[in-house]
Amino acid sequence: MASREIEWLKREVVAWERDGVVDAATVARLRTRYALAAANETPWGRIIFGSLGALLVGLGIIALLAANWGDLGRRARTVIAFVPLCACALLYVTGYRRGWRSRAFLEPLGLFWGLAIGTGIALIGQTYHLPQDAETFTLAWTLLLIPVCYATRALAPVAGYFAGLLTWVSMSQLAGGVGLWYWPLAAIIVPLIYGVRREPEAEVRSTWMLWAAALSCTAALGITLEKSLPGLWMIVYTGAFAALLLGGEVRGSEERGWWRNPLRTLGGGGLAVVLYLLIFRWPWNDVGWNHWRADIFRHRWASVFDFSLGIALPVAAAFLLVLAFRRVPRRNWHGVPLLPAWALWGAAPFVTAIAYALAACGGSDQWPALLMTFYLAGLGLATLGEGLAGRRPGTINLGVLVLLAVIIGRFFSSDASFTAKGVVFIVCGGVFLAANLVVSRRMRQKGGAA
Amino acid sequence: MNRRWLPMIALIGLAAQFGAMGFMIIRREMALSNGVVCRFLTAPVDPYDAFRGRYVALDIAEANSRLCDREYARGQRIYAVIGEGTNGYSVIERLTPRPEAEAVCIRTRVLSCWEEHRQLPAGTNGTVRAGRFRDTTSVPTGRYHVRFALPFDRFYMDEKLAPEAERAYLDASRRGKQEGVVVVRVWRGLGVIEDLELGGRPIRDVARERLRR
Repeated sequence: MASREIEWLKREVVAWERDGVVDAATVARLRTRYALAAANETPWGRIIFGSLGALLVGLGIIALLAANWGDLGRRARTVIAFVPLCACALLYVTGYRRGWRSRAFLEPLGLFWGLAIGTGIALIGQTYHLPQDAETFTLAWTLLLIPVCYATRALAPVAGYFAGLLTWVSMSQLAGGVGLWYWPLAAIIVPLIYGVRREPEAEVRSTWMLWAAALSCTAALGITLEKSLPGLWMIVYTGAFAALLLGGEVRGSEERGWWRNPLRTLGGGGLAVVLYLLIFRWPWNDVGWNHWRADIFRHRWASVFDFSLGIALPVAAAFLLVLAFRRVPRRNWHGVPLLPAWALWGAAPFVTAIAYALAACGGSDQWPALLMTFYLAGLGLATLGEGLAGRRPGTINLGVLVLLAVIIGRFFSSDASFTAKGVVFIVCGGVFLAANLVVSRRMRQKGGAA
Repeated sequence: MNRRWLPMIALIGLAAQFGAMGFMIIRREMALSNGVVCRFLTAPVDPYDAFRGRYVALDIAEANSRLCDREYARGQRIYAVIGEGTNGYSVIERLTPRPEAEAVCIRTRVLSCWEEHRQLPAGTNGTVRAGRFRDTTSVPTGRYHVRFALPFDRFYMDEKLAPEAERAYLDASRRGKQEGVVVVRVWRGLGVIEDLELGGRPIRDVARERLRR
């Protein structure tokens, strides 16, 4: 429980005692329990200042060594390259023997250790005049971060690891290489994040780690695709975002707030953006087998990865959809079973696959764009309906936002006359105003947020 | 994960970190003590690296592109066979996919590879332009341009000396007499820079002398 929530509870307990809801003994027990929770809380102030200190010391060492002391011999510089790493080893061993388990010690140590590795490699590069090979430099630094991540379980090395992997894969792919190694390398850190999530009082740290991993993997997905089959990215990306969204529902449907559930937030946001792009006609131009890419930099075997993802991600989304659906209580509206809105969002890869088949076989870009427009508008309506049913203003706004985005997007891209567009806009606006009026009245009657 | 494993992971990690850095050092020390000396003509200029500091960028006079009889994939590992040119400096003689037993080779990678084309003379008729070349004005020669990068493109120097070294080179090249030469030790495909010379003297000494003036 966060300190803000504990403070709220303490204030409430005083009010409960005053109103006679709880007796004095219960109040004492509650105070003892939450005083303990407050004492065990992560010392964020110390962690932030400690990490800033470690960062500044690390950067200072890098700058000092970059000055290149020409008077020092090769041997002396080689020894200096190991000094920061030796300092980290010494600190870790001392900390372990003396039982320093606090995050205020391990977080700055993880940050400094990560910088010490980079400093060492850079100094060796400087001493032996290594060529400008940023790709190898980044990969070596990133790989050597793995034990630091596991030994300290700190946020900075984990975030640095994913940032390093993403940088390396971008450079590798730009240089004509194949970045598929990204995925097994990223998977190495998954057990660590899973372990940290299960630790008590590690909610914030594990959430940041999950954000770093999810953002890096989402970006790397687009980079590592070989893109031999034009348009396959649509199925891959909708599949990936749907899997993230549904995975977030399965893992932490009870977690409130968009920040605390990175999978659900990133999956939902990503799906909205990708589906929005697909309501236009341009993504559907020249897609399918008839436009197979035969560029000189294409790696034939790497295309297998694209096809595997094109199948595996929608299958994963389907599996998670069933799993998540079995966990939610059934709801009815006048006897008609209602699907939760996220279940409809989760079906995105299958609808996209149908649209893709239409574009690839028929060759027309109009029908797939129209199908996706209706689908996204339907999702907006479903989200709006769910928000209204649950009286959740955030969900209502989200649904309205999706619907408005679809209408405005189609308005700018359609060839219809301005008269027709004007009439449609006025009708839509009228419907919205009327709906808003009705909802506000109902919410006032039922005591919800108006 | 059991917390008892953490010190073990830390120890293995430290061993890997020390090992990786040690391996980088030992290979280059071996090259510097056992390698064959090669001398390439170069033009030094003075840029900056955020991590490794000030360096002198080396623009090796040896062209970084060669014509080969076979096609190479982008990123493929190749070996540049070093020979001696007519001016006494080292030159890249040819590229091979594997190291040659008796030759001095430097390992590098293909940056790009494209087929060479020959222009057909104007007025060439359709009979000569047979098959798939019917509608073109050039035909492939069966040879390939292979672009590669020699693995020594920077010489790190003191932050005060590096700009002075560049100025020294510019002054020297304006007079048209002194040449920049990078001395490289090559051992088992690995090339390690030993020194950078200007007019037969180490560039560090030249720059230091200019700073003292």
